[in-house]
Amino acid sequence: MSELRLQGLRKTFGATTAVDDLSLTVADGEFLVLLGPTGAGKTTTLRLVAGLEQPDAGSVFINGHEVTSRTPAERDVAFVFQQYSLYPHLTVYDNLAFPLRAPGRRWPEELIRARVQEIAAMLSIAHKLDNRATELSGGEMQRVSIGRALVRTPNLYLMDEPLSSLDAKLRETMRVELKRIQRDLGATILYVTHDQLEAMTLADRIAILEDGKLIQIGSPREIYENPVSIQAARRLGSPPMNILPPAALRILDVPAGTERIGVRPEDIKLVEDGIPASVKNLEHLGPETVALLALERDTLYLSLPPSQQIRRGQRVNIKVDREKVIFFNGKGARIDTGKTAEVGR
Amino acid sequence: MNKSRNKAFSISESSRRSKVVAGTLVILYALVTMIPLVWIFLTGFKSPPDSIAYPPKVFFTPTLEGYVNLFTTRSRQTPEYIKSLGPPKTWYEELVRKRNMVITGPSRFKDRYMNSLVIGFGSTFLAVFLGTLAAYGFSRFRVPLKDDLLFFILSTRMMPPVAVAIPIYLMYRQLGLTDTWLGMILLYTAVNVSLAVWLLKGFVDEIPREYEEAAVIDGYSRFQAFVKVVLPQMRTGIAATAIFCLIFAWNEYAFALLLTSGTAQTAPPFIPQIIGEGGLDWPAVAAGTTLFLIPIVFFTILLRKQLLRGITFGALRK
Repeated sequence: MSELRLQGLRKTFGATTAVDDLSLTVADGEFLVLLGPTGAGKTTTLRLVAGLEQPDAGSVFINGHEVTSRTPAERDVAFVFQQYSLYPHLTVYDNLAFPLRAPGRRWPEELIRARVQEIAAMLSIAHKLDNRATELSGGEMQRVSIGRALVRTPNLYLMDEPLSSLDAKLRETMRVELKRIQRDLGATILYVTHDQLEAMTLADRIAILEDGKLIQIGSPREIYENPVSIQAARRLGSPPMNILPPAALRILDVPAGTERIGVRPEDIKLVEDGIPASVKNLEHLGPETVALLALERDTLYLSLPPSQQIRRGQRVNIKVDREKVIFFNGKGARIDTGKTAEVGR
Repeated sequence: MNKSRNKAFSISESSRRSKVVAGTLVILYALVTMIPLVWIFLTGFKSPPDSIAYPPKVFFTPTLEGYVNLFTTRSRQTPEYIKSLGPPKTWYEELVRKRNMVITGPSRFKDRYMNSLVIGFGSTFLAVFLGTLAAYGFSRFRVPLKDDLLFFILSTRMMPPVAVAIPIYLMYRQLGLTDTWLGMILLYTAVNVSLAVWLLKGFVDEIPREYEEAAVIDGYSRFQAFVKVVLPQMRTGIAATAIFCLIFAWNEYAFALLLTSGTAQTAPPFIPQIIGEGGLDWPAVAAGTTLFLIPIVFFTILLRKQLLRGITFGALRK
């Protein structure tokens, strides 16, 4: 049983507010992803939870106990850093054994050996145990640093963009691996990323941060289908949701206060007779083709199945199903139209 | 790769000719700098007449007279008296008697050498120890007036240390620190600690904080993280700093001459005062110098890898 609760956390650095009145709960065994652009306060939040920073206001609770003024060691959390996390003067084995040899823990060496070998086998780095940490490839280093978090069973795993320094292929493998490990261990993870794909694939729930504020929290599908604001809407999905004035898509029957509307690229159809547009650019991604279309004043993304033949410069007609449109007011907040898509956790 | 045919320009591999030229220059320079050392080493094994012979002798019969004279005090006696003593009991007595002398006791060189070791290594240890802690503090903590303090620390090196010799002499006399180990260790530490702080701060700055944060989260205290994670990574820097500090403390002459005379005198002011028959006993002086060089040469060779990396720190390390 390990649960994390943040209550009204605030942290400022000089004139900038990194984290602004943040409250959220990570349930036992949950994989919660903090998603947001650079400078949204994701890493600061993680550091506040770990105890590497002291909040200016608010509290951190782990398993119902307030730990706001406790040291990192007392909080018993594991942290995977974005980089630099392996002790360069130690071997892989000693890196993995390091947390278990800590004063508060001090396992007997034979137990440490068994545990380190178990984790090394799980992350397929068993053959590298005698190497110096500096002799590993990027992927191996990252696996060791995840392994160093996994050797002990802390209350909580905190991960700060652990996959960002890996190449695309490896990142994909590690993503699958990480999710599998989390399920197997039933681990509670608070994970920071700015990569929406990582967030969508890993998270049980996603918390979207912007300028230190929590904008929306929910399952990936919930947020994808029912974003509460333009910010949240544009955070998930690639290419991102198209945000346009309603007139551009000839949607005239809008709720009161609507200033802009959002349409997912996959919800736009090519038709014989509709809104005229020209194809500005094409990206063939394999399973889909992303087209950038120019309307009278605006541009929008459209995703198509690869079977659909389309050329650059071609004139096309598009149509948008009003049912799929999301309406936003002047402040960028969503206007509730009473209908929300059916979503399950 | 075919080296002889490879005419392509390469940044990492210099041409054969420039390597030969560079190598020759380095060897020449090394020879030039080695000559005084070789001269001193050889003089230590010459007899007093050979040592002052003109033109200088490069080939001579080696003798240990210089070393014997260095470690002993002797007095001149009549041949009759020497004969009455009976045959010499040791090889060095025999050596001394050839010059109509008898050994009257050990010289003070051993004590002076001991003083040098204690004061040199003691002050080096203290300067590096304090420097490491201060450098860590300056690098990691929010210290009020940090930049001013660092400048102030550096400013103590802006004049030659001897410039403050008189105030220090007066102060030491008042405090009873003249001619004591403690006084000399404190003095050399004070001079060296600024260098140590600045050098070491550069090394600490290069160690990312993430390591300590990782260690703290792994269950260690801040101090344990410093000992287990930061110190091992500072090894190079500490070694380089220690050598610089030791070289200063070991070779320091002016303060040693001024502040020590008896009990705490170090080797540098002692060696030039070795008087032999007819003025300075050059072989003994050379013998003392040779022995004096050994610890620092040994220490430097021991740490040479670190020293090389340490000197080039910042720019191209690793």
